[in-house]
Amino acid sequence: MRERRPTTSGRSGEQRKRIDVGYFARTEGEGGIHAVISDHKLESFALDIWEPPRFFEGFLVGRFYYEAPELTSRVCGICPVSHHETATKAVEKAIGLKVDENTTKMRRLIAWTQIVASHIIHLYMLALPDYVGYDGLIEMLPDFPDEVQRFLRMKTAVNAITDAIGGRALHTMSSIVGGFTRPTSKKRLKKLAEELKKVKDDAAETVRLFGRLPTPQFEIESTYVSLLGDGDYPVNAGMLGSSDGLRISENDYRQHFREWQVPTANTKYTGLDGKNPVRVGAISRVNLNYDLLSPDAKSIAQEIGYSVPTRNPIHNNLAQAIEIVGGIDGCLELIDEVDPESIGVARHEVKAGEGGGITEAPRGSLYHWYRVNGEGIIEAADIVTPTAHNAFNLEKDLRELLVEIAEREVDEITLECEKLVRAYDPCFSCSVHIVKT
Amino acid sequence: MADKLKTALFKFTCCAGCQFQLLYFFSPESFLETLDLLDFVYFRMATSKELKEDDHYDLAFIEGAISTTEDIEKVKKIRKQSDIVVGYGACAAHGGVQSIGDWTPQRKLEETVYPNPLQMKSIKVHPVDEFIRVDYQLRGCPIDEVEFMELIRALAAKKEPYLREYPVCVECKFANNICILLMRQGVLESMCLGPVTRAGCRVACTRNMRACFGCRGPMTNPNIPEMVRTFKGKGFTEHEIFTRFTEYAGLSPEFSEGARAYYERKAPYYERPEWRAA
Repeated sequence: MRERRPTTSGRSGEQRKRIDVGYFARTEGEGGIHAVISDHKLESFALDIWEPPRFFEGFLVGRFYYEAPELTSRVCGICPVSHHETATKAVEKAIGLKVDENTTKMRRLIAWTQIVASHIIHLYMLALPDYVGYDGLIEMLPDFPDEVQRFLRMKTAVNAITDAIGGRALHTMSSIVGGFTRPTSKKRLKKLAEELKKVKDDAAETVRLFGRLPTPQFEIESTYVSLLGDGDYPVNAGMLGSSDGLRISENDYRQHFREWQVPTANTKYTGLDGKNPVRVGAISRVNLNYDLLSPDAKSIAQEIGYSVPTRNPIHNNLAQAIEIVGGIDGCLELIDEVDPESIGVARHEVKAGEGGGITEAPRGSLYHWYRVNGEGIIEAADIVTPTAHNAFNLEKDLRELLVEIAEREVDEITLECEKLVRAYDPCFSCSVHIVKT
Repeated sequence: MADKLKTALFKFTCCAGCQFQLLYFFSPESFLETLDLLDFVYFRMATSKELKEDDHYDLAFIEGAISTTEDIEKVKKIRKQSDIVVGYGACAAHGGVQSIGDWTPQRKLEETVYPNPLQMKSIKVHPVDEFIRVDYQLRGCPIDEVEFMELIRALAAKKEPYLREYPVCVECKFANNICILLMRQGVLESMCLGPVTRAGCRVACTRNMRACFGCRGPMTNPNIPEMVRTFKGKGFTEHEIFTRFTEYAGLSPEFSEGARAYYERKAPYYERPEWRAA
């Protein structure tokens, strides 16, 4: 593995600094950045994305429509449920199947648990060690027993609900096209809701913990994009909107967003109108839907002085912590409303057609699109993950950050860049990873 | 208690879900016990400890399939550095879901996904044991908590671990499940690979009224032709049978036998992988 190696060379009076991060620790997949700063000016910069592609959109061709949710949930080990539910939504649209409201609510519930679970992973396992100066959560165990115990309590309570609805916490299987094969019982959900209520204080404590950590003051203009809630906080329904006033339905996604291949990467970049970078994720959701958060989430946000809209990309961590509180409230509310016993699998005939769906994955808006023929065989597929949405914007932010801090020491610049990348919470194996020269 | 096993975990082509299974979805008791038994010196998702060149490991987990030429050299090096190598999950064992792409010509795959395929340097997906000897194989997508704990407890005690060789049906009977292969209709619910798939998953699928999709790969001596006949008798098409056998472990000789009837008929979407001719 490549090490960080500060180098200074060149003519007298001119200072050349090289920033090399070969492999970010505690990010999903491998990733790296390379920059040369000469005479306090950014000379070259590259965010290389190189990880072996897995060709999901390729091998889905020729498979049956009902396989799509199951296979695409294997795109990502942190947010399998999000891929599962988005694929289900897109496939149902393609074959012309409508499910009842109860099933939609159940899906909303399991999608919420996914967002909360993923945020817990990111904040405690991937981000926190940075701030307290440890290698990882395992090393923190002896010195931070309270934090680690809190992490374990929260994840156990949330995983239990995903497990009850999906049949398993990771790579769920009871949710299929048309409904649920084995929905859980109201009694069991109620019992799990009691457990979930117990960790609400832990969630609030998480927000306070991240509110106390020092956040660099760094403001940047971005176009924030997320689904817009209609009465409820957006999870798996709504119009797609942006901070610049964009309002589109998921059916029109492809007219506004375009993907293109870049020479340095195996990930395709995505931009609005084919050229403008966008930012998706918790920060965008909170910026655009703050009013729809639960009262408790809003009050804790006020307590730590979180103001919307924020322009500091590092605030994504705080937005995630606030969403954990909002998500727990969202789950509790849905458990009250949903009637699991009445859910089955909708009978359906397969019609040829195409359809796309967007949901909010933990890391932002996730788009799936399928074209299915009359026999139920997938003829074309398209998946745009949150990290693919963000890759172009991440490059832009890093470039601006480097220009701003070009005068500092190499070690400091490297650390700031790493913090920014990790605050994006990138999921490299989702997008096909980011790496070395 | 003897010394902890010096352990490293390497990730190749996969979703990293099996790492998260250990780090996040295990019960707190299993997670803490794992940390008692194993000393992770390299585990990129959990810790920023750097990889040391020419380090030696008591135990190396290899997660993911091999799909670049560089990775072939990397796994060979890991083999030399490690006393015990454990394949970790369905991708390491049989290629996992991305191995579905092996049934389509690589150029066609690249063209479907990327506008400029000349930039790509991809190769087909291979299970880890095509390149190195793997001592033990944890199977499943994702791996099972109980099986993982059994394995590391045995290894820590310097005992031979017990890995099941019988089919999922055995566990299903112990769990008192209704046989969904006999009872239900529909591909997802009744085209069950349980009779030929290796057990150890604690019937994750069938207890949720879903057919086993064979993520753990073939058991010892499975009767594949009979399995295919059963599916045909239930009215499933050759294409449906092909997709079921090739979802997670289609590269294993046993499951590719089940898939054969369809691709030998010059199916429109697939062709027989030449490099893996039976």
